[in-house]
Amino acid sequence: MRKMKNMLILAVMIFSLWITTGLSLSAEETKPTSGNPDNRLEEILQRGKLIVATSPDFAPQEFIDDSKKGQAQYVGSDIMMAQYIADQLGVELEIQAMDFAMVLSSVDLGESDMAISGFGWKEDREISFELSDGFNKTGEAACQGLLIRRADAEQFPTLESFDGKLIAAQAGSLQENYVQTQLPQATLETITSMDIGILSLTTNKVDALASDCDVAKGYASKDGSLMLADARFDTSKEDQHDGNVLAVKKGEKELIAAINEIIEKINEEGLYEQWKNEAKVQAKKLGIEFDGSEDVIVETKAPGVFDVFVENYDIFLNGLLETLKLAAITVFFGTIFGALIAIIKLSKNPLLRFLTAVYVEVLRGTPILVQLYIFRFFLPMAFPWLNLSKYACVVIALVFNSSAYVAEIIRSGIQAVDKGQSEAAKSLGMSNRHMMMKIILPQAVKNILPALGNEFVTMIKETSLASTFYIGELMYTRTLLMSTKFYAWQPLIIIAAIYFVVTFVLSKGVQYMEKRLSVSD
Amino acid sequence: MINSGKKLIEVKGLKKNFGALEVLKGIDETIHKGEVVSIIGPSGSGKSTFLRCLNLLEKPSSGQVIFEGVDIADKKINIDHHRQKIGMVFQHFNVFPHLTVLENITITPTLEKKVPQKEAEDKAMKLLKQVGLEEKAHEYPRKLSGGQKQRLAIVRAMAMEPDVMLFDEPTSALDPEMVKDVLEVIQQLAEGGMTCVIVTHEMGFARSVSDRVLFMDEGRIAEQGSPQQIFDHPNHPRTIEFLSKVL
Repeated sequence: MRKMKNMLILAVMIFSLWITTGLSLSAEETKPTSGNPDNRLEEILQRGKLIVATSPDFAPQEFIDDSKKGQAQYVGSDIMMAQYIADQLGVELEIQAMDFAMVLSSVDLGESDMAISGFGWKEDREISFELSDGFNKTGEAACQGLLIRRADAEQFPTLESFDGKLIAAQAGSLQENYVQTQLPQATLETITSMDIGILSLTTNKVDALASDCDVAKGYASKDGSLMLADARFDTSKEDQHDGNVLAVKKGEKELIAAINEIIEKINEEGLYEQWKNEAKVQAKKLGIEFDGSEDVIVETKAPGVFDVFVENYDIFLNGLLETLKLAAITVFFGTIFGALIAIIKLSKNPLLRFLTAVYVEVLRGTPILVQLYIFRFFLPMAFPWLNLSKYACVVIALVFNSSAYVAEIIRSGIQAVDKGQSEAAKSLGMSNRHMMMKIILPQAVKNILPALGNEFVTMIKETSLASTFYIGELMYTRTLLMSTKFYAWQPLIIIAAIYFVVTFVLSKGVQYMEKRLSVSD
Repeated sequence: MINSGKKLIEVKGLKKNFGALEVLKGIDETIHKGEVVSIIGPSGSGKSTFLRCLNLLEKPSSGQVIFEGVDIADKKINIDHHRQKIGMVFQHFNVFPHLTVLENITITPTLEKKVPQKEAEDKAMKLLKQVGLEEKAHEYPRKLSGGQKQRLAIVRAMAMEPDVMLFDEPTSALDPEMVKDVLEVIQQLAEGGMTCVIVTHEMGFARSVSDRVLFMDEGRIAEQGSPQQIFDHPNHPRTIEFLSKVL
């Protein structure tokens, strides 16, 4: 027992050193000041920085170059355009990557100045945001089509052939527009991200995936069972609302006017096409092909799970280490907090008991994902002076959540100690404090430690939710490999396997610990 | 075994309810210094509850428990201080499994009475010798048999040098071959002059060791007297009924 205690203390010390060297608690991202709402442009100029939200899962417009770190990893024609806009305004550029679904709300909440992520003009969007003039609409760059299974190629020679079929399109995208207007007889299936669309297509859940031609070619180059259909959407209308748009917060008239001026310049000088070509070259270096003409059948078979793993084992390893680190930090601090809560809950003061009871019930009774969102968005708003990074918000949310579970673990661990023990101690005339410290707690530890071990194992799985916020743990490698290498499903299987192996081994470890601890019974 | 006449524990109008259930319905009784009192009766009669009220492991719903002149049910007093003078032995031993036999005995005197470690250990070894457990001093309780654990529990309580020892069915959880050894230890204590209150089903033992026997039934002391009176010439119909079933 003593030997185990010493080992435990040593482990905790080593661990504390390790995690404190890796914590990035203060924001690398700039927090936009919540100043006068109608003067965002002024704010940007004053600040010297333009903050742009995007979802980098859309080559060649916005994607990730995983050979780079930090801001440099975000590449693509939209990124170059954002850089151009920033240069024209005379400020620096900061890219904030996030899930596609959060890009617009980020602008709405004032977290970012501008959103650019392959959006198309939509009437309801125009109501909630200031949308720019269109760009990326001329020449072959305006090619919009449908990704289909190669086996179905003969079924779909024309647009009309898609009548009555199930077509997937990303919610709120340009392609969704096209499906609604040009394929009214088809059934639209909205999806949240392209990789879900790919999965739906390859598993025969949908018949086609509406996509930018280049993006479609990129996917097809990685998976020979898919191809760009011959039929294309009609993009010939010269309309102010054609092409892509970007969005800023509603009411920021000065900002959108300044941006539109710049867009006019871009369109006149044909800059966007240049950027797109550059982006395609860059993508090619990462193994993403756009130049395969539809006539040349690209017969690359999609790589299998094992190949993807071998090719990217370092990415998975890093992701796993981040996951373990995140889980460890969470349970470590969660235990400290949880112990505090457990002690307060034993207080004689009924108000303290009530408050801690509410704390525990609420945190255990609401989904972790909801808590993550709340902490992620409300903490920086409520405490701007703390300058909390996205990572810190997520960690804080997980720590609070874990502390509630730990408090319960401690309480029930103490309660599980046989009542006769406290009766014997009391009957001997031992003080309450001595009874707790010398008799009850040492025995409760035997119940608590294995349960804490299980909490750690559970947390390893729960940290996968942090990937929603583009925190680079194991689950995020899926997003990464999706956007950089167009691997739709292989990473999922590898990730699941890694989680399983890790949790299984650790669970066995916890069982072993439980056995060792109960020897003295 | 000598009844000195000095009142050690006085119980007045003791009532105990568990929710709607009335377990003790009004008990008046006095335990004198040097007395050995046995409490017998059917299960559910409140014997254990009564015993546990004597060191306030159960809080009386009403009434008084006066130990050495102090009402220990009073919230204002330091109950730990008084409990140190009342030893208790439980049916299920309740020895501390994470401490050695020796540590079980020395922990409370060193913590609460500030007895120096060496002195506490010497005294503990003496006590262990008396009950034949000195060789087990550095073992953990899991290595002991039930009878040995109970002897440890008795010695642990004795180490606090109490004025009275309470026994709550001390042999009910023991295998038959171990009962005798434990009863012998209790008998030695009693003959040595320790005031004892014993709840037990061992009628033969109660008869031979007690000065007084209390028969409890349905939350009251139905009858009491010397062992001869109770066992040979019971008066109360319930006493007669009970004894006919167990003897």
